[in-house]
Amino acid sequence: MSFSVTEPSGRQKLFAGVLVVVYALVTIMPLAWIIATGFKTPSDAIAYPPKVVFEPSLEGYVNLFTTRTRASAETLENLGEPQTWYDSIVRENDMVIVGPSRYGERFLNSVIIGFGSTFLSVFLGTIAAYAFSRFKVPLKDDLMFFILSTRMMPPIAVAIPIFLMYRELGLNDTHLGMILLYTAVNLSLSVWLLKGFIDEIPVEYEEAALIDGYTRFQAFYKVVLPQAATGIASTAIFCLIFAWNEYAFAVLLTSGTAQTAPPFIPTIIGVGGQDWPAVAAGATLFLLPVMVFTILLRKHLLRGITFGAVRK
Amino acid sequence: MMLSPAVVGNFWTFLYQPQIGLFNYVVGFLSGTDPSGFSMIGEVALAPWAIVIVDTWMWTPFVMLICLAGLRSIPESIYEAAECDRASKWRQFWTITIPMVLPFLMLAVLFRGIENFKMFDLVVQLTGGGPGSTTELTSINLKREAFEKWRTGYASAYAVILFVTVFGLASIYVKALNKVKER
Repeated sequence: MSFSVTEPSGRQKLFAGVLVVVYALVTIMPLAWIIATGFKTPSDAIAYPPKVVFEPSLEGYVNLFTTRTRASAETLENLGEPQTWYDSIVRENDMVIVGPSRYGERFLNSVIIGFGSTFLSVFLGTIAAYAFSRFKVPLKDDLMFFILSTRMMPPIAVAIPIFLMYRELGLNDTHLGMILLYTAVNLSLSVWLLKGFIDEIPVEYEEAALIDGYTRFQAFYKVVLPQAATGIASTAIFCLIFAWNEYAFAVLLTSGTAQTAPPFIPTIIGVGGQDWPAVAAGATLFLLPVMVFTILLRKHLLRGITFGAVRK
Repeated sequence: MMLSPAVVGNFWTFLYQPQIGLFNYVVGFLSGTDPSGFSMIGEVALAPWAIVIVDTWMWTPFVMLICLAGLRSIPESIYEAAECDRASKWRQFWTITIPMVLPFLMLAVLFRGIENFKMFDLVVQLTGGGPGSTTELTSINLKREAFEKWRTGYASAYAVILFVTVFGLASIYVKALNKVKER
């Protein structure tokens, strides 16, 4: 084995390793607690001291997806045996299911708005980024900085004029309105990120294609796009995550039909205060896609959050 | 750090519950105080720290990633040269590591600065600006003026001032950052 002067000693490595593991455990603790609480019964969730070992129950998930009402003993007897497994969980608390909850609807809204705005902002962003990357645009740097500056304002400040405009146009609380809004917000991210990705593709490829008689559009479509595919995919995931997590606009501009999941989850109320297992179940289902995407993205993670400023 | 601040903030209110919350229990267990004796969100002195703890928890990994990228960009050979010159580890850290990571650190400060200036989701869910107006940040104050008191003109003026402030500070900072990068 070759000897390196800069290699840390065994004891230093052990110390650093222990430190990292302890930090990782502390960091993961709240997340693990959310997931665990989703599988507790309401009484287990608020037990003192907090229960680490508990009997898993799906009550939180059942409560999340259903609306229930308290029933008298007579009504319960008249109903007969519970039909399904989730019926029997609810019956144990002297309740009956009266219908589905709003959670599924809100989740679907999040999906529609997230994917719609992601598609639009990546589509527009790719075109804009290509132009910024390959053509001489007057005041290019200033324009790029201006695009970025739309991200520097608190969303609340932007929400005031948007709210007034949408009221005139009838876009308040509609899917279309939210898709357009998130597209506008995400566009700065997609332009900046995609410009970085397209900059990395050697311009010679296109020049060769142009000499061979391709039109500019064909060269873009057949040469640049396939090369930028990974970049476009990771940009799309970033846009999706941002639209998925967005809260401020959603809480101010939507209230019913187009409300997304983030403003909805905190309003899940059970009997006597918040129904924590249901909230935790909702949060788990909501956070899970992001966790999966983040793991898929880990190579480009930093680049995405820093708008392409840090490239590894 | 990629998770929704609103949802996470809402759940932290559960961890901060005086009697049943995990956070209070752990703090109580480690310090020997009564876990129901203090409320992170309910007390004027503690509420800002409640936000600080969650924000730190959420964003330390981001700063860590940036620093890691910076550290990776330092070539090993510089350290070897320093070792040959008999520079102490401490000296190496101050004269090689810090200056070379500085642009990355400054970038992290820029991003966290802008983000925290417009922080809204987390605080609304965690403390709602309370108790009273202890944790009422600019964005929450703005929301109250615009969407609760409906003083649209006042709020719009407020928003413009905010934007100019952030934009101005960010431009100055970016200039300084570019200077450091060029060195």
